[in-house]
Amino acid sequence: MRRLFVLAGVVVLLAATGLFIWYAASEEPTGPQLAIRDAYIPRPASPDVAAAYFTVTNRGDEDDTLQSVRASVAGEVMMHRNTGSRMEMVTSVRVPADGELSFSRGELHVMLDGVTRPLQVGDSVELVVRFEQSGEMRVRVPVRPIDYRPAA
Amino acid sequence: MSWARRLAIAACVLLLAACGSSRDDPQDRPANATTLDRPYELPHVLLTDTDGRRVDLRDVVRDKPLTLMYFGYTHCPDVCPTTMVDLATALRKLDPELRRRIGVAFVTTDPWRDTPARLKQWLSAFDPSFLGFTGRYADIRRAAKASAVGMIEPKRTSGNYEVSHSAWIPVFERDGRARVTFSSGTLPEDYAADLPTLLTAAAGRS
Repeated sequence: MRRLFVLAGVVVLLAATGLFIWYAASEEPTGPQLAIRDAYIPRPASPDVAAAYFTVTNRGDEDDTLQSVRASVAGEVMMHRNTGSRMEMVTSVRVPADGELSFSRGELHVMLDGVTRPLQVGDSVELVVRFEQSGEMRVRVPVRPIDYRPAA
Repeated sequence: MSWARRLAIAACVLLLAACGSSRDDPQDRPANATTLDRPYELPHVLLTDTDGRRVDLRDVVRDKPLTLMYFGYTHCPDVCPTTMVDLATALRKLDPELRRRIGVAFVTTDPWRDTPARLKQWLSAFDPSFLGFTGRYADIRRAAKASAVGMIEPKRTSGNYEVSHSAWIPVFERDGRARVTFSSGTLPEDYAADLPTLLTAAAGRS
């Protein structure tokens, strides 16, 4: 009887291993799989300058690179990284495979310069975010209260 | 959540626990502000406030037991407005009796573009009680230097107008000296936790 149990156990184990191998082997490379979430613009104190923040998630198995951001509401859009006492212009940022890229207050941000209309809470702005592999993605970014921070 | 972040949070919790247990420390040091080995001494510099009046920065800090000073500019999209909004949020967390003993002074590092009117409008988005100052670049730089705030003269090349802002918020007392400084990434609750301690320390000196 006991021997039968052992045998059944071994069979189940072998079957599970086989299933796992079959499943793992069936996974095709996905390339980068991007999504943009938690996008917001704090209501700007300045009439002509604003910042946009968002997170790009990559559920794929390959890196991608964010190359530029455009917005029809701004004369110029730049990516900046805070280096303590000054801003460093950034021309491209990596979105790691199975990871994310975060633009957040005091670190990395998208600067909207020469904003053409007043931005009030409840408005939204369209950003066109271009990636090397994934091409262009459009995201509607809501204007939030001046002290807004997304929940951690 | 990454393991590094979990570890960092665990470390913070431990650190907080450690701070909590040393509450009876006679020094009663602030938990988040950095205590300076040598106090900063503000020079006498004449600047222009948001109503166009000429004022000595030393007289500005003499007005309140504590004055939080920040050097930045209104075309700054990220760090300057975030710092100002964090300070405004921190002060709103305080008892009104303590709140009115603390001033915030914003000194522009971009006097070419930051007129008194622009400063006033910009600051009112955070807290209408915040004071704003502009002036001659050399004078502003002298005041900033005394607070260990490095400033880079704006470069006006086409399409690239680079201005620096402070990474620190020194806390000046009526005597024109700052004995502690906050870093600009400090969270509102962390300012709010330290300010009563700093007020008590300042009251003990005056």
